[in-house]
Formats: sequence, structure tokens, C-alpha cells
Amino acid sequence: MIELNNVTKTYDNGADALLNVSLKIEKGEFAFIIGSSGSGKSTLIKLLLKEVEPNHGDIIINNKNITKLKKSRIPYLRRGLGVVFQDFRLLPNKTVYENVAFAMQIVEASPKEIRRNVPMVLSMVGLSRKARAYPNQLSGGEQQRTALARAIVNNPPILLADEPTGNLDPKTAWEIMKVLKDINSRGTTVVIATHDKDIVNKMKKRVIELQEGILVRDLPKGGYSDED
Amino acid sequence: MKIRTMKYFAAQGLRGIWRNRLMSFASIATISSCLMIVGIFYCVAVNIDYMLEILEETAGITVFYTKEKYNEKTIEDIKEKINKIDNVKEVKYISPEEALESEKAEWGEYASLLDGLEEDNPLPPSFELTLEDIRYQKDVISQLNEINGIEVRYFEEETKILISFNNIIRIISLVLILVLCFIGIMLMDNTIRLTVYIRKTEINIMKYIGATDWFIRWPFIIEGIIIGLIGAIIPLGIVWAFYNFITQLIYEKNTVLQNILAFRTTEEIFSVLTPVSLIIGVSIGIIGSSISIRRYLKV
Repeated sequence: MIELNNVTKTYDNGADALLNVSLKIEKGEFAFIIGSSGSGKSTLIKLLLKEVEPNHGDIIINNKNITKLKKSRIPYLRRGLGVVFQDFRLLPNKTVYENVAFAMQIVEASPKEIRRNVPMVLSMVGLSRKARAYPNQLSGGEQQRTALARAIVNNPPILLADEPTGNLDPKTAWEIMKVLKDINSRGTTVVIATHDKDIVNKMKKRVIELQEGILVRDLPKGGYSDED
Repeated sequence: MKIRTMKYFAAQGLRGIWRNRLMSFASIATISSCLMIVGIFYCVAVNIDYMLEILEETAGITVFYTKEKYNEKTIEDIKEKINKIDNVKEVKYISPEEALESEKAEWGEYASLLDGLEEDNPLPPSFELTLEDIRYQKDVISQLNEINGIEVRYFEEETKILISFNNIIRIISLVLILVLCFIGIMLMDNTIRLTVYIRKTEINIMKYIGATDWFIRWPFIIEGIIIGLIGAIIPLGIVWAFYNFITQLIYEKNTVLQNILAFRTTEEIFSVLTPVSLIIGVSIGIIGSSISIRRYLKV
């Protein structure tokens, strides 16, 4: 599903973000990418979204080598990758419903499909009753649920989350993790970049650890670090 | 592209105009003034052309045969020689008898004073020339002067003034139009840039969700097109009203001017001016927004 072969990314200022990283995430997996800030987690997510280009190596997503993907094809790559961020990135002038429907409008889904799918994903993330609320009327957890609903409404095979619980208190963070687990149990491959030790230790899922751009650990059911 | 997507683009475009109304207004005003000048100068230039055309017909070149004796053959010879000159459209022979008739007609109630001249007609035979284009008047005259036994009369000063006036108008309007189009494009660029800035977050989110570049671009291009269209329609309306008003005023009230001036009908003017203005307005809109999108959107 996701494959990196000897991927190196060096930024223009000379800083190494990723050095010779190879890894493979299978369909339906639930994987954490961990590491302190500056370890290259975000760069990895950006490479998968083709926001940045690798200097060396190949990236394969859904059996397609995206390293030499034409610029005009990038939107179609991203339609296969749901993505959520630490800062939610919702449109403030749109309701919860409209924010989610917007993702479907962009891919030119029919109004019928929109009317069917949006309530479905909203109930899946537990936000049915907040459909008419605006983002500023929601708690952080509810905002992130909205972002999750938006990310999965077009049924992407892969969901990427960059520090999804970074702005949330532990209780809310757990609720979000539960939603992510739900999404994963329906067959979506979930990749989460995080430095939330607690969550990683309790989830007992695959852990890929990066340190200063180098892959130092890849355990099928790991904790945050060796000491745990 | 689906119809509902186009509706979405149009709604976004209109929203963009409304969200930064001040800049939209400035762009519309610039395009309007540009097209207003296009309209005014077009009206003036077309009517000068029209008057030149009439001048060609009514006040062309008259050639008089000056020798005492002539017969049908000499008349035919001269007519042929004139006909061979480039840019001469038509040569009309006017016999002394015909000339006298038309003189009488002009004298009106005093025509009886000319009675008796038929026996010893002092009027020479003449030819009236119509040219393909009055701009060639000089060339034709210099060639006419090479023919023996004729005298050439023409309205030189009037023609010169009209031609040079027309040329000046054309140059001024061209320069003004170019400058204003340039300002229009610059202002449009700024207007769209502001919309891009306001919608920065939205565009960023759209990119992550997988919106294509054209999906992101279209609302901005439509915003530009709408501004361009409004900017074209306003001056068209104003010029239309003024043109009607002025031509009617001159035709109705001022008989002196009416004899000198001739006007194309409003329909004739606007059958050309309307599409030209709309095309220029929309082009400024599209070019301005495209520059902005290329520079600031980086989709």
C-alpha cells in the first residue's frame, strides 16, 4: 500500500530531514510514526502527499510509483489519501455539514451522493447532532472529528494523520484514537505521525521510529521507546 | 465540467467580487473608463471616416476642359485618360448643357437671368471624378495635371484637415487605450490577488482534499470575467445614451451643423462597438486574473 525505498530528503538550507529511509506499510495496517520534533515525521507525511519531492529513492502508493508523478496528477493522488492535521484546518464560514460536503463537491460528487454520504460519516464520527454548528461553536475534539469525517468522506484507501491529538486533552485524544481505530477496522490503512507516548504505548500497534531522519526502529506491536 | 460545478464557480466568483468590493469597484471603474474612451473615439473616428466618404462623393475632383474646340472624340479621349489613373473609381462627363441645367436649378427663382445662354453657353464641358479613397487625392491630381488642356479644381484644405484630424484621433485613442488597458490589467491583478489572499486557507485545504488546479483557478477567472463584463456594459450604456442624444440634438435643432456633419446611425456604431468592448473587457479580466493566479496561487 505504502512503500518507501531508500528515500532521502534534504531541504534547501542543507538540513537533512530523511536519510535513506525504507519501509513498507500493508493494506489495512494501523501504524504510528514516532519521533521528537525535527525527526522527519512531518517530512514523511509531506512526501506521501507530494508536497515535497525526495532527493533520492522511490515512493510507491497504491502500487503506483509517485516519485515521477506529473504535477497535474497530484490532486488525484491526494484523493486517495485522507489527511488530518493538528490544527484541524476547517473552513470557519462553513458548518460541519458543509465542511464535509465541500470535500465531495471538489471531486464533483453528485448532490445525491453528498446527501447520502455526509450524514453517514458524521454519524460514524459521532457528530450527527452538530451538523449545523460552525467550527467556532465546537470543542477541539469535535473539530478534529469534523476533519476526520472530511478526510474519509470520499472513501480514500489511506488515512494520514499528522499529530491529530496534538491540540487535545488526553480524554479527547483517546476519543479521536477510537474513531481512527473504527476507521481502520473498516479497511482503511491508517498512518499516524505523533509524539504522544501514552497513546502509542497503550494502542499496541506498529511503531516506526525516526531519529534525526534515520529509521531507528520498526516494531509490529511496539511502545514509544525501548525502555517501555 | 458539470453544471453544478460551474454554478459553484460562478457563486465563488461573485462572492470574491463582493468580498473585496473596493478593489472590484476600482477595477470596474478603470475598465469602464478605458472602454468609454474606446467608445468615444470610435464614434468620432467612424463619423469622420463617414464624412470623408461623403466628401469623396460630393466634393470630389472636377476637371474642366479649357480648349475652345472639342468634339465627341476629344471628350472620349480625355475620359479614357482619366480612367486610366489609379484609384479613380468613376468619371462622369457633364456637358455644357447639363452644367447649365444644374446651374439653373441652383439659382432657383433667379434662373430666368440665365435664359438665353443656351445659344452661347459659356460653361465648359467638365468631368466629375470619384476616388476609391480620398487619401489618394494628391496622387490623382498630380497625374491629372499631366493631361493637356484641362484645369483641375478640388477641395484640398478641407480634405487635408479631415484626414489629419482623423489620424490624430486614431493615434491619441490608440495610446490612451493601451495605457488604460495596462492599468486595467494591473488593477485586476491586484483585485484577484486580494481574493487569493482572503481565500488562502480555503485554497490550501482544497489542495489537500485533492482539488485540481483548474477547480481552484476557475472562480478567480470567473471573477475577472464578471468584472470585465460589468466594466464593458457600463460605458456601452453611457456612450449609447450620449450618442443618441447628441445626434438627435444636432439633427433636430441645429440645421447649420446638419449640413456639414453627417452621422452613422446608432445601430451601425454599436453593431461593432458592442462586441469589441465586450471582448476587450473580458480579455482584460482574464489576463489580469491569470497573471495573479500564476504569481500568487502557485497551484
